[in-house]
Amino acid sequence: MNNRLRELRTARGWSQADLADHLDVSRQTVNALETGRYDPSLPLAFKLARLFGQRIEDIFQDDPQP
Amino acid sequence: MNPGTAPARRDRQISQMRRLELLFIIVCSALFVLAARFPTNLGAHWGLMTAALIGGQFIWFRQYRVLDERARLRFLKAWMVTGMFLSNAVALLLLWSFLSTMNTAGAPLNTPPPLPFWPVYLALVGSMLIMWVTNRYLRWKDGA
Repeated sequence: MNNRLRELRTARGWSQADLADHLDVSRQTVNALETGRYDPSLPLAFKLARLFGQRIEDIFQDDPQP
Repeated sequence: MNPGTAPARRDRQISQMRRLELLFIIVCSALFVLAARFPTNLGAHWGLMTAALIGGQFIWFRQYRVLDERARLRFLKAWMVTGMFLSNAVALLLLWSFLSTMNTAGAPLNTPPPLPFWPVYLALVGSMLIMWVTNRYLRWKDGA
């Protein structure tokens, strides 16, 4: 799954640890989310959406099926 | 420290729990060695074993509480693999013990077959090792 997390985070001048503190997760989880190695749970996706003031589908995009 | 790799609050909590777990293992191991070298009364042995078991459960519970959702998945997967190994090992040992008793001439059939100590002990130690290896593998796979 593609996402705009890194772009949204850096636009606010936050480090991965700052974002991790806002979401109450570990920095490794933020890194895994940004690199697309981990898809968040629905509660975490809503938390991200609220934090950045965007809709979930504006942050996360499903990979197009071949 | 590089701000890009600075630990978040959750990372610090996880590190604190890992240190507490290590300290608990060291203290328990030292107490067991002491108890083995200097025989004490039965009450002290039971007290120590009960405290070690309850303390271990408490630390596992606290560890789960401080983990975030991704780490909790790893924790649960490691427990699942451990549970599968241990339940299969105990089931096999029970079957083996039952068949051994059946094949022993003159063995009483109205009493449950004895469960051998060392195979059960090895199954338990093996399950703990499997949990550790699974956890390490999942952490490596997750890049954590």
